[in-house]
Amino acid sequence: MKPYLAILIDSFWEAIGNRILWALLLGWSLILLGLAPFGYISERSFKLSSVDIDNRSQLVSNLAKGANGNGNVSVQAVARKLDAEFVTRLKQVAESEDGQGRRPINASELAEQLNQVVQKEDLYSEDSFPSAARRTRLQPLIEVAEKSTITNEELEELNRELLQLAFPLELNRPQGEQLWMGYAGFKLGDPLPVSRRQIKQFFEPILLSSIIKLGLGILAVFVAIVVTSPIIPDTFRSGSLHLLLSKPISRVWLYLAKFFGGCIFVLVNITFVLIGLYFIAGLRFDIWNAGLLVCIPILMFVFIIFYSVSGLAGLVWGNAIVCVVACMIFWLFCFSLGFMHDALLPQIEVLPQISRIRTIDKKLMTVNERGELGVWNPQFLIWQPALEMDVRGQARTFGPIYNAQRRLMITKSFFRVPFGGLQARSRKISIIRLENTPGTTDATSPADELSESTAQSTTKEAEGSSPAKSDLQPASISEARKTPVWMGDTGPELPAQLFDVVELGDTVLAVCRGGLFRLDLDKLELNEAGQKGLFGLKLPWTTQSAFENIAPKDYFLSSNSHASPTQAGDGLIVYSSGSLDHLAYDGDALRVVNSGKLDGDGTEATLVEMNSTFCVVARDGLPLKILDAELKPLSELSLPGDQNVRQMAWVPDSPDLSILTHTGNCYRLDCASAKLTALVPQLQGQVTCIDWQGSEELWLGVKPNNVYRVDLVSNSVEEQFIPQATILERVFRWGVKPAYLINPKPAALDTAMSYVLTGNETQALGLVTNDLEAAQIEIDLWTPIISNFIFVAVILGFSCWYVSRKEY
Amino acid sequence: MTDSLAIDVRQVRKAYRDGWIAKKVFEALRGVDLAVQRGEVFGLLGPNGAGKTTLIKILLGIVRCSGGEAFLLGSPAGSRIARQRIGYLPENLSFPAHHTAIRALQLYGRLSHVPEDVIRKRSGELLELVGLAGREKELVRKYSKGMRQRLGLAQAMLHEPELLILDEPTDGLDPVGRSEIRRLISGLRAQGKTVFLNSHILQEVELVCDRVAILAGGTLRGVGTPAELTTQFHGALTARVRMDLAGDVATLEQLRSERECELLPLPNSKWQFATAFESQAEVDQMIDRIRQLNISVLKLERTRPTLEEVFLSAVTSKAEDA
Repeated sequence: MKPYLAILIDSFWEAIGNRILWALLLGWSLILLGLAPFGYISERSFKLSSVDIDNRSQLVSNLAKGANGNGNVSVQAVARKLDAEFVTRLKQVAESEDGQGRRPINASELAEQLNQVVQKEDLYSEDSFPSAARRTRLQPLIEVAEKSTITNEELEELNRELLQLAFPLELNRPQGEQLWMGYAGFKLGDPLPVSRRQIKQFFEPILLSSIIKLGLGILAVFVAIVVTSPIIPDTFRSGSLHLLLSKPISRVWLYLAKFFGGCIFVLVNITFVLIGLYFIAGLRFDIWNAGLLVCIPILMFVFIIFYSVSGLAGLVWGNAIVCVVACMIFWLFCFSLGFMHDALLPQIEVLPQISRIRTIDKKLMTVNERGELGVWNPQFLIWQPALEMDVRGQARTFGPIYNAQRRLMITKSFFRVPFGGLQARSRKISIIRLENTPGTTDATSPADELSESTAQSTTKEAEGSSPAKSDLQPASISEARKTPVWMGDTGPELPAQLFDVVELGDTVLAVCRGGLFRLDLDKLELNEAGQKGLFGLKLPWTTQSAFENIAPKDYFLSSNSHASPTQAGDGLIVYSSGSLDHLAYDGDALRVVNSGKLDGDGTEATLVEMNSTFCVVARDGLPLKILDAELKPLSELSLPGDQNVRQMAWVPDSPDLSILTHTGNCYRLDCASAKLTALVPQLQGQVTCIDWQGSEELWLGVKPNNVYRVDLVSNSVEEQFIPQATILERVFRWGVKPAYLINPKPAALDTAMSYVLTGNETQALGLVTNDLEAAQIEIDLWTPIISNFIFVAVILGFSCWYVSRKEY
Repeated sequence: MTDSLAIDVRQVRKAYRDGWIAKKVFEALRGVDLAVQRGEVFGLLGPNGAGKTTLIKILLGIVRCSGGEAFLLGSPAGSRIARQRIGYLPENLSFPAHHTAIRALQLYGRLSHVPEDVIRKRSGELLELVGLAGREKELVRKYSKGMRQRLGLAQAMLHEPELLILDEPTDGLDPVGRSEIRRLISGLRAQGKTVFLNSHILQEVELVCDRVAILAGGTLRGVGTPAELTTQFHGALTARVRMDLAGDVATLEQLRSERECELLPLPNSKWQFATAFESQAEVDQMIDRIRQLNISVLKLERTRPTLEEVFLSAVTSKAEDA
């Protein structure tokens, strides 16, 4: 047997003989045994749980109305099926304005009562639910119900769908399956408010990577370092060392064999735990994630990084305690630098990314991921804020939507809240009124005008196109960064539960859960006057909303919806929980032209675009779907590397679609042949948004916050708008980032684990937002691996040199 | 380099440097020349700090010499070939806590490139030889110091080396154990092996070593058989005589006044007389004179200087010179 193999095997036996190993294995076994009885309990069910009730107070109010014989016939039909005692309570609670003095009805009680309705055999009647028979999903159920051959399960499904029809805004869409957390077959608490797919997509990687990062990545590696730290100092202690050195073996190989022998110890532990976790996750949660097993070498790599430091300390100082202290100091240093880098990275590299470009009134305007609306300031070469912002963090800004006739822009910013949804202090839109300067309409190409004054290559001031029309003219760059270009006016309030604000031809449409609301621009002035009042008195006629619902009757959207105007601007394509609707104007209102149903569970974040021939649907983690104008599936294709789509836009005067991915790559999709070609190859991986200016020219947002004008005919960048960096940005780019690059990054291997667990090349900034358009951080898989590998090689190399030169 | 020599050390010097900035230099060896013949048992003596351990480390390649050169069995000291042909028992040997005697022998045998079957065969024999048979499956951490020492000796002999370097082999052993080790060393000599012994126990060295070197202050003070060393350091004192005498006290006092001597009273009116002589003629003359004085010679004993005396003499005389 080779001598070094003998040392390696001996180290293994040494580890096996270590009592701490057995204590650890026993501990891990107990943890795994404790975890093993956890699991999902899944039931096909159309019953409601408290989490299915989206708006409790509204539901109570509507049910009380129905019980009193008011409101919608469907609501009345449901109320009639409720328990009489409960109806009395409903009425009492609804009568007392805030429910004080009465025991409020909680969501669980409501769910319980509605579940009784779900089991009633005679809920459906054509009079009570007139629109039900038109729903393709309900037709077969109604048919069997009428023949009295309906099964209990079908009855529950039908009644649950009827309840949804009666309370579209108060109840969440039925999933058909309920999931509970269970322990040894017993259900724990209420059903989970998420679908199996969402658990798989969002929570599984978060849960698994948390267990691995915290449980194994930090705790286990630290324990492993403590346990293995004496191996090197003990070996290189004089009593046993002189005997080893007298043998015909190389010192370097002796050290390396002892080093990797120590690693075997950790490998045994990690393999045991991860294989245990793999089987528990698979058998109990149906999560057969092979990534867990790939985490074994990654965790080993993390350990090797720390152990190389421990080994060197053991060689130099020959003391196990010093080894542990050296590792802790090293960890603290890496953690501090990594923390600084990770805290600054979103602020400097992600949130400033341009997500929308508009050229309005000869001004180049952008919206970034912070939701900041910026105007290019050619004097200071910065994106000057257009308005005072009242949101911080990752936000979503609608617009600016420009009305050339009225010379105004409409915009509004919202926070992105965890697990989806938008939030702001008020829902009132902001209005920017532009001065009536002759000849500044959008008739001319903005690019032509901008090119004269604003490109970075030239520093001359803009001639006659000063963006600042307010009285606030900044004197310095720092002042310009803080001074908004315009003082916006406050407009009418957007409807609740907003998804998007889109331009549909000449109209502005707010896409909300409760319908599609058109903004009446004529009422903007009235609304403003109403807000100001007259002599301190509110004008009664101004309370009329500026938004009018033009959606078809009983048209509601689910909590996961997306809408986009068609290429011609004559209609709207709406995605809502797995369903697609093509709506077009029928007079002043919109009507559904075509509908379609997609596969999947409908909870996927989705983007959708449509022209006269094709409809393209991009969903999180699923292939692109191309449908025809009647929303019938034509073909599917996956983007290279299964990248997720961030933005889609039709190429002007063309049936092609431009697609931008979260990894910054842009493609041109020929929908007819379902073929992709790279767009602007020289900027692949750098693009953050696309804005077409004709079929041969486009504006591109380029990382981190630059804008390029690209001529597709010559395939060249014609203009660049590169803002001057702030001091913090300079510190990050020239200090923190290079230091981080060359520094070992054991913690950054977490991203590698995230990658193998999720398969995603990008990672959401915050908690799950279910929004494809929100910028994500690209997972840098290779830099940490390379820098850590170099670090380990250098430390081991130095250790080997040291051990070969050292005189013991 | 002479192939016939087991150890060939030529003008070997070693200086240690200590300190980070202002390095202090300490010369552990100052030009040592030593030649150990094949097949002999050679003892290295010296006080603490004499440079003995440094010399052994140089021979094993654990430290590099600052000057000069050293060869083991014709190969440069520290080379892999040389290390393959030697067996070493270090001072204060400690074994990993998880080792049993069998596993320790297995590991060190593998490190010495001994085939597995040979390891298996020799392990039993050697454990029997060193008196550890029946205890081979016990963890070494439960062994006494003497048992560990014997196991150390077994591992040193496992690959049948031509040269054994034993550093304090009887350290921690009881008299019976020491005797067994001496017996083992004698057995090795009989097999034609060379043994290089470093020990503080001078009587032991004197008992088993063919030749002895005395190292002090980094220099070699003397090399040779114990007799040669005695001649070298006690050459002027060719005879030392001790006699038990019986006679009149006054007459004995007269004898003491005539020659420098030690005169100690013994029971039953007897006296012990001890003195040193330059030659045999002087001894004869002294006996004639005692008889002339009518003193009876009850017992006469001629004594030689011990190795300890020689060692102390060698170490102190050179220290005085220095």
